[in-house]
Amino acid sequence: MSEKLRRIWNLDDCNGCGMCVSACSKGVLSFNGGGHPILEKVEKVWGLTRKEVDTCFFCKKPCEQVCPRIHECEPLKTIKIVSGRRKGSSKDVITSLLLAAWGNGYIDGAIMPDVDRRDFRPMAKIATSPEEMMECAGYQYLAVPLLTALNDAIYRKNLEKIAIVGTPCIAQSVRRTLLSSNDDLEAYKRSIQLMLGYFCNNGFEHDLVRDVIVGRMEISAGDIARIEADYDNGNVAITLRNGSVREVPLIELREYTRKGCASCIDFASECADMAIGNVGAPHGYQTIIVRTLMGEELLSVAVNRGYLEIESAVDAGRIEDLVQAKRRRSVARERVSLILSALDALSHPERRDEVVGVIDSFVERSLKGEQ
Amino acid sequence: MGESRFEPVVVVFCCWWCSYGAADLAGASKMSYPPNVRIVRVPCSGRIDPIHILRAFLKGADGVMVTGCLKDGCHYVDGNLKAEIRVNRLKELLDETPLGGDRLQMRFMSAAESNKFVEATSEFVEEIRRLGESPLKKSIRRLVYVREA
Repeated sequence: MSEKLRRIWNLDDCNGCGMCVSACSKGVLSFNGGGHPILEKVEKVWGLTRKEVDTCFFCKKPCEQVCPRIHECEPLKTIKIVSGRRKGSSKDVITSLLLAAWGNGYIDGAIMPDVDRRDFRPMAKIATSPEEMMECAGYQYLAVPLLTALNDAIYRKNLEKIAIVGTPCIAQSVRRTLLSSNDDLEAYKRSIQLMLGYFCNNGFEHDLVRDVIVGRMEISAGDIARIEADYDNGNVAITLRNGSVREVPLIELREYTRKGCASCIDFASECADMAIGNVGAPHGYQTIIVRTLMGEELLSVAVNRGYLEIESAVDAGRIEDLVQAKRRRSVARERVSLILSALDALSHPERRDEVVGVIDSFVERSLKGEQ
Repeated sequence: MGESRFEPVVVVFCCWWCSYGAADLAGASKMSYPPNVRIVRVPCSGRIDPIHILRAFLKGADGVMVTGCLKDGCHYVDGNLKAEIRVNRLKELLDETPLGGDRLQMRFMSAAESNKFVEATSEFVEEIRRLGESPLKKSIRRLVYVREA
């Protein structure tokens, strides 16, 4: 087992994207709902002898190379910010973009977050037709290991040009995969064509639905149409199937936040081709941030083909505020690693002077208010 | 060179609103507390970060004591309760190191309870004396000795 990955898991740093599960060349990693993937123990039997095998000994460790928590990826530059909506409707930018990409032959399928309608449990869905893309519920602010479906999409459904729609952390994993030099990841690098990212401050565990919505608010899970975080008003809006909207303050839902989100500093999907979110757009519109040439081309195709109508009015300052607010989590992350290295230095005295120096510079910086 | 008696160094973080007042009052009313105690004044026990405590240990403290206001008497509503959570958490972490969680303690007192302050500090210094020198300090001395030789 990769020690680096184990460290990420033990610190609750895992973002739960599921890319390592897909990338694992031995197939020993799996995800079953916990905070991080699980390593399967393999035993070898010779006659009466049983011995546990270190499956990762001869591995190139693609899991390490795709994990954005081990190596950060550089954010992409913004090319263009516009606000848009599906023609004649409101919002729904992601579906329009996917339909445009499908219509123009850029993609032949998409991996998107969907929900199980019975208990509103999030799951990954592989959509291979426009109908399926339109049916998909999209991101409900519930964390889902989306990229575990990648192998199914490539090898079982034989998709060659895949679009992935997901949270910033998933965009980071995808970017790390695309940038890696490992031959084992060639299949993924070839087939992932497009990455559409959401704006996301944090994802919630499914416990939110079970405890708060079903338990406290007494709404049946089957009645929920969608859950949406409204960062402008600090609420989570729960839209029901009959059209009524119930709201819960975000601050009350803190304990249901996915633990790995605490060390994420990416709000506006800075590694995706395009980032889409509600913040900063006029009513009924969504903000679209274009970050790559592929995204720019897709946007113009979507507009020309009449899937999308765009406006230029975007409150970029509001987005920047939220981006900066989330980036401040890097200080918390630095603190945790400082505490760990200090604890480490207690048992390794030769590292003491170095650690004390780092602590002093950290304290000095925070006193100066640089953070 | 004869073997000198071990004198522990104990850092006590004092809340400005209560235990610092208690220590002050102890001095004013001519009560004596152990000279091993080094007092660091903080605006509230909630200001104390685990990093501060760890730095004290790294710099050679044999014990660290965090003192705060009585449970429902914090000047800033709940700073002392937050400090307690942090200290308890850090004690667990320290148990994993050679230092041990017993070298860290949290006490609650009000500004008028100078006797409680004297009692708490002398008890804690005795406890540290019993536990002996911080293993970190020992190994650092060895390290310096090796480096100089």
